[in-house]
Amino acid sequence: MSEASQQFIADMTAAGASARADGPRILYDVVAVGGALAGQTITTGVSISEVQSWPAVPPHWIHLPASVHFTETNMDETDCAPGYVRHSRDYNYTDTSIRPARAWLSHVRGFISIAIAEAA
Amino acid sequence: MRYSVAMSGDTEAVMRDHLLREDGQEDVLIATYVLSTGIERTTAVIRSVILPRDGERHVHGNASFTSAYVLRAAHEARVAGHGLALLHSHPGGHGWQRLSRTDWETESDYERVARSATKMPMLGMTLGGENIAWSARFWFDRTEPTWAESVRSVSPVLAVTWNDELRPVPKITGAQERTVSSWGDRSQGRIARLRVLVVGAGSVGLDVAQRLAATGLITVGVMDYDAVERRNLDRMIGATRLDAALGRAKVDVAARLMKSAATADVIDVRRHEVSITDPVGVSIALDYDVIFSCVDRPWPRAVLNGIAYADLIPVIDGGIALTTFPDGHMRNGIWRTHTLTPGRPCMACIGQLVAGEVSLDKLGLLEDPEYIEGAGREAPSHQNVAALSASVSASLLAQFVSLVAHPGSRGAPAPLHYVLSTHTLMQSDTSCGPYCAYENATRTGDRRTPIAEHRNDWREEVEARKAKRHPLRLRILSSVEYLLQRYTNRLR
Ligand SMILES: [Zn+2]
Repeated sequence: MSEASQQFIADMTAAGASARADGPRILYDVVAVGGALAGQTITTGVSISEVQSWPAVPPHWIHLPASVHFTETNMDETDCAPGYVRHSRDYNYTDTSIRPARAWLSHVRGFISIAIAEAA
Repeated sequence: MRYSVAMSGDTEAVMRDHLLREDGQEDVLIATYVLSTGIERTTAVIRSVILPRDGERHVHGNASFTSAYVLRAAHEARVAGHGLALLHSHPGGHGWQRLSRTDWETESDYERVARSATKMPMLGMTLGGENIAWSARFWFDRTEPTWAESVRSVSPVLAVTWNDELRPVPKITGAQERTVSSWGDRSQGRIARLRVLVVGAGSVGLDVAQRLAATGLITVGVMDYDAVERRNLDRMIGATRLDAALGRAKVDVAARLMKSAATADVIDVRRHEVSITDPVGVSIALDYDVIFSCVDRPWPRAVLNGIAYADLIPVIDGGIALTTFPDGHMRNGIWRTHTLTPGRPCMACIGQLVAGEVSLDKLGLLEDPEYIEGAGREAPSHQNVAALSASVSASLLAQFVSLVAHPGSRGAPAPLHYVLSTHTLMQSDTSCGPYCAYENATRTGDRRTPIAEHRNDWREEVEARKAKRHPLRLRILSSVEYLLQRYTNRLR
């Protein structure tokens, strides 16, 4: 694994989301703070190919279980675990007084918190 | 291979303060370095300064190192994976300093210690105190050093000491009278020798490249893998209908225009039909002293933002954004320009680079209508008018002049932006945050974060263009044009 991917795992773990490699992706757990999934622990991830320039370039796509829905996002299944899709969501990290991993984590948390209830 | 040394302005100040003593005596110092390896140039980037402890050097008469000092420093360098640099001062020295017999023997004696500890060549440096001139040489073995071509100190003020033997002062020509009368022949000699790379040969890059040639620079590179199309002709001043009809490479058009604009007797125009987002583009960029970033996408910007700090090559970037009202008339225009050096904020921290968009750029999604629709994003605006792109190139070039000629001794300004609707020019007081990955990678050289990536798409584009056959009448026109150009450029 590249130095940058190892750094991503170390940084996420230090930020409280213990991360591990899993095939072409890195997985970690996040607790949703609001929305339909509030209180639940969600396993989410990023493609390893997206953290090759970490922390200079953050990842973009957020891997989530296919059962989690949003009103409007772009999705695909690249690098995803079975039963997962990845969502594209604009990420604008310009406040570099915050650690990159913490900023990424609150971005992901914010995204999960706007998930809508699964259609029956 | 050419050799050079780069140091940040802060590092240089620490070394200078130590080496130039109030009592006027010579002094010695040790530092470590990392390599920054280009295609034609290898640069030692000074990494850290190891100040001597009490009794670790002698300062009376000919200053000298104790072997305890050299051994301690060599150990520190080895642990960090750095090379070792031995420095001394010639307080009364003026210009590029050579080695005295004693200097030679000292450096040659310690070469083995340094190389066996660090597995890297030993670097020797001298500071001439009279006009703050640095010189440097690489010891690949103990018999004879290989002289560097230049030593640069990089901060908003770029100061380069040239080795006149390896890169002689270019002759001032009759076409340069006005230029030289503006900043003097010494500045002209220093500036003309800078190797400057323009990345992106579109409306702004093409203008910048021509003006660098007209300023008298003797080596200017242009990097772009794209070709001229008809829709470029409203902004690429100097590009012709023939260029568009033949789909000529933008670097070829830039080279032609630069040769006509050049005021030096001989100009070396380097054409690089490659992408800066590819490792080969990065290696080429590392051969240059200053880079103009005339690109508008996040990925190339991220690569250049990295090089500015990791390899201590000042990058001057800029751009323009025009907005329109729904009825189509003009709402506003903002252009921004900024010089990236240690001591000035990087593009990620001033918002010029949204690093989170780099992965979209890599996937080609920033221009993908389907993706844009799904993301609820605004389509990228490509509005631009020739009358305004000159404002961007003018501001970039003014930053260049401040960086290299330092009128008022202040160097390049803080990031600037101009708001067209309100006619206000503003200077940003932003600085990089403590977790800025770019600034934190300052002076890492070849250990820079890899942002460039090998790709075939641009290579295929370049190959396809080269293989393309054109109608006979266009080929004849092209040959006639070429001959005319050649003879015109020979006129003295
Ligand atoms: Zn920054």
